[in-house]
Amino acid sequence: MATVTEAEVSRAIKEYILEEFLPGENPEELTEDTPLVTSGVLDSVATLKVSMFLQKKFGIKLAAHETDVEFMNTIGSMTKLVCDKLK
Amino acid sequence: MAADSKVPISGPGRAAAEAFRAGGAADFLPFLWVTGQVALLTWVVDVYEIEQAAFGHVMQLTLVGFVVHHFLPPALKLPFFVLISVLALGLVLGAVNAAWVVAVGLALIGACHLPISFGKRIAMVVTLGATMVAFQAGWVSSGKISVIWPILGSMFCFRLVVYLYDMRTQGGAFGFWRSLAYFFMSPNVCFLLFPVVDYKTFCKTYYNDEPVRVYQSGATWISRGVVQLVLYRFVYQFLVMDPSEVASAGDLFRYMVTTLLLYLKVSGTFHVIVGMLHLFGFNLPETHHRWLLASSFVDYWQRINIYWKEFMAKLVFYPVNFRLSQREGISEKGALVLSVGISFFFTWLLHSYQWFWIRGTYLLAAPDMAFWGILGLLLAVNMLWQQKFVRKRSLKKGGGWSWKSDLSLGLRTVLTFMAICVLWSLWGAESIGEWLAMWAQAVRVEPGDVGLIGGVLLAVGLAGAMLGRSQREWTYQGAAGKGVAKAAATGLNWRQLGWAGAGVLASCAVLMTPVKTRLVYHASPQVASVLKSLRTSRLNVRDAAILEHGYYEDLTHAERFNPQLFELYSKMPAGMDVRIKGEGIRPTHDFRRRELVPAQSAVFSNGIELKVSAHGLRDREYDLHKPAGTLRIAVVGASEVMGWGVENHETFENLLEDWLNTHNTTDRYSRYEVMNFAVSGYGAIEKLIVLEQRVLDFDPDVLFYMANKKEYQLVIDRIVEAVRAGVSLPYDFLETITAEEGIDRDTHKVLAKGRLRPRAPEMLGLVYNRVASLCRDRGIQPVWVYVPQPGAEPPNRRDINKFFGHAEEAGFDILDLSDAFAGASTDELRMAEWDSHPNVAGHRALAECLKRKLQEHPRLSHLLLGDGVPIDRVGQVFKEPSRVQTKE
Repeated sequence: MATVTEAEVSRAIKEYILEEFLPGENPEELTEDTPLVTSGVLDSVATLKVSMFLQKKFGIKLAAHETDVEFMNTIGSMTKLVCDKLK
Repeated sequence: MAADSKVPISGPGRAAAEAFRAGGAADFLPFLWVTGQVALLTWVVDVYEIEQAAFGHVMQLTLVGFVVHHFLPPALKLPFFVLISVLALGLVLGAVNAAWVVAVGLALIGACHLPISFGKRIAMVVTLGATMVAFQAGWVSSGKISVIWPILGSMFCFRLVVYLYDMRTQGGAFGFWRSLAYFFMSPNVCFLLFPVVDYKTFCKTYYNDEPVRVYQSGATWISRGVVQLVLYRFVYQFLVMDPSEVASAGDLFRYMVTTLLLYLKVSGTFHVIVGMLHLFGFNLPETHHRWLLASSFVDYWQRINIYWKEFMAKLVFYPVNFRLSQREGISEKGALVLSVGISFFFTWLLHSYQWFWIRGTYLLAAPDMAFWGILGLLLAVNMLWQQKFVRKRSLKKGGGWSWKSDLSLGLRTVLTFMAICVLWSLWGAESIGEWLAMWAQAVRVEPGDVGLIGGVLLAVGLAGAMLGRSQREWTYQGAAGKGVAKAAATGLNWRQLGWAGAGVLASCAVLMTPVKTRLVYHASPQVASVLKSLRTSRLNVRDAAILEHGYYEDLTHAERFNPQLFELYSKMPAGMDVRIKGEGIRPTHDFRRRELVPAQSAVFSNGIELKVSAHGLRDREYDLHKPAGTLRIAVVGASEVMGWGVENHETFENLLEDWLNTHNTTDRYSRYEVMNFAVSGYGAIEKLIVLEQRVLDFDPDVLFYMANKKEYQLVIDRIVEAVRAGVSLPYDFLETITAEEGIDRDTHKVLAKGRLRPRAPEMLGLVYNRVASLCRDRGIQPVWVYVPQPGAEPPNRRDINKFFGHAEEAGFDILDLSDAFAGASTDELRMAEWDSHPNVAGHRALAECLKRKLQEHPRLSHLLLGDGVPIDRVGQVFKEPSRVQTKE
């Protein structure tokens, strides 16, 4: 996979979440720090879907414990997880 | 293991704790406010005997510990919590057992931290676990310390798995005191059924908010838990039905709903446990969240026993799903369905595993497997549905809802509630056949059934719709992280604390309303009686019967779905399954089922010997022929009269005989003989058989027919057992009634008992008439004696009063010993918490009461104790119509 920047990772994740789980929502309201798991936007099945997306999209391999809220609660934390894996 | 004392508190809690110690009265008052609530709750726990006396003591220790702990510097807080936990162990188990629990626990924790590879550490833990299995299963005797294995099992069987998982995935901070605090949490010693607290969450939420706010939520949760436990008692004692009582659609609905509501015991207990942990800074999230108001199966799974759901998701669902998804050829949906299926398989398996640690036996029941299988299937379908029709999500808090969506939510709540009720009734059934037999009764619809069903469902639907908004916003992870957000946003909010505390105080005020105040008692003595009965933990009539049935037969898993019996059996030491063993008792293969064997002996489970006389009585030796001048009293009854667990000379009938002979101041009778024909488990019909077949040969002058609270129930149970076993019924009237009710060998026992239940008064009346007339024909005075069981009497005497009516109509003289145990505590009078037979003191109390009642009874005192009737005329006098003394 070609090198991607942190901003590109973040943008791709945001687009996916908006399209898949928040259709019709104002993109401005979904920021890097918007809580997704703790606010109920992402439940366990949705978290699974996001993790599958991250693996396919960025060619990384996640472990089961990386579906934890610590990694999946915000776009920022997901971006960090992906970028750490890509390093 | 790294020392963690330097960083026990982090985040806003640390700053707040430090600010508090430097602060003045403004900081002290909120703490005092919460302490007052905790003190009040401790009092309520004591008055209501929540979880027996041991928990009351632990709660008192918690109150003192809470105050001291709060003022300690952060570095000492975790060690102090561990100290409190160890003290709680000592308080409940005794010093030696507590030391063993700590020693074995330290060995297990130590094995997790050995400086060897992770795989070898796992092998070491498994080896230690296998050794514990051998002790808990009884393959290897652990002697007097056998009591520690269930406690250790409850502490380590799941938490150790989470701990190792988090260690492997570096999910939490590890340290000596933190680990000890995690495994030895103080409430665990009182509650074997304990929420599976996640280690990472345990660490992450420690003082993650303002300390006083953490404490306040602890007080609120304890109060919620206590209210739920009292509600549970009400449901358990007054609303729960026996499957055989189900006779219509309304009954079935009541059975299903009340079976579901029994879960209040678990929900209430978990609230109390987590609330107590909050008092020591562990700001753990809720264990249950409005579980009656789930609007889908997925929603239900996320609300009920949330810690379990999180445990399964972390250890099974996600790892399995990842493994399957990363393989070729398995679709996303396929992986989802399989991982849900495997999660539910493990849920069932691990419940059985947990059962083993608590009870030492294995749990394999068809309804159990059916319940988890069906629930797993429904959940998988529900998840697939949600995937296809993605539920509406929004970033706006609570926005975008309309009356249509609320109506839809209400309807979905009702449907989910109904489905869960049906599933729980299946889980609670003894067998699938029993469950189907109950449904067969539901074809009948009684007037009022529609109103009952409609009313309850409407209430559930309205509650679901009205509380929907807050439901939608709730998540476990959100709750786990809420403290940080709150603390970051605000400081201490007096108004918030005030409202939360007022809620706790209001709950306590309602619970502590004196039941004998003019307001309650004069408005309704019945209400006062109900309120009073809620203050003690006791078995309801149905479970008392199951427990007593278990004295004689191996009722495997009688307590499977029964929180009250589960708790009771959990406390029972191994080998105390309350049975008689030996040659002194044998099966008869007729209606009586068992009899005592002449000149043999047996042993009760408490080690006391049951010696049988040459004539087959649990008594002293008597001649068949009555000696001249002797007044002979024959006694028929069940186990409490036979003298279960006490020596021959300690039974109340022998104490009475001794008293009659030592206080015989008249020269009418040279001697009194009180002969004990009682056999454990005998009901009215068996007593009649004994009278006809055995008692009459001994030519008694008086018959004491000893009745207990199960007069109706034993008549029904024995007939159903006999018919289903192909044993012929001993009397024509019983044959006629069973034929009229269409009962034969193939009728399911639930249906058979349900059909016979309305005929029980008629059958008991016929048996009493036969006993009384047989006695009168032989010149024997029939006396009906009501014998209570310590701590096991039903809170209302409706049925018992009917027994008195039948006895009066039949012409018995009546002696009511109901007040025999007044003024003494139940524990002083019964064999054990799991065995309501009177102990030695109980028999003494019964004998004293019987003497008093005989002396107070005008006719019997005159005939038996007075000086008016010569011995040769006793029989003649007894043939005269009795002047019945009605009970008070």
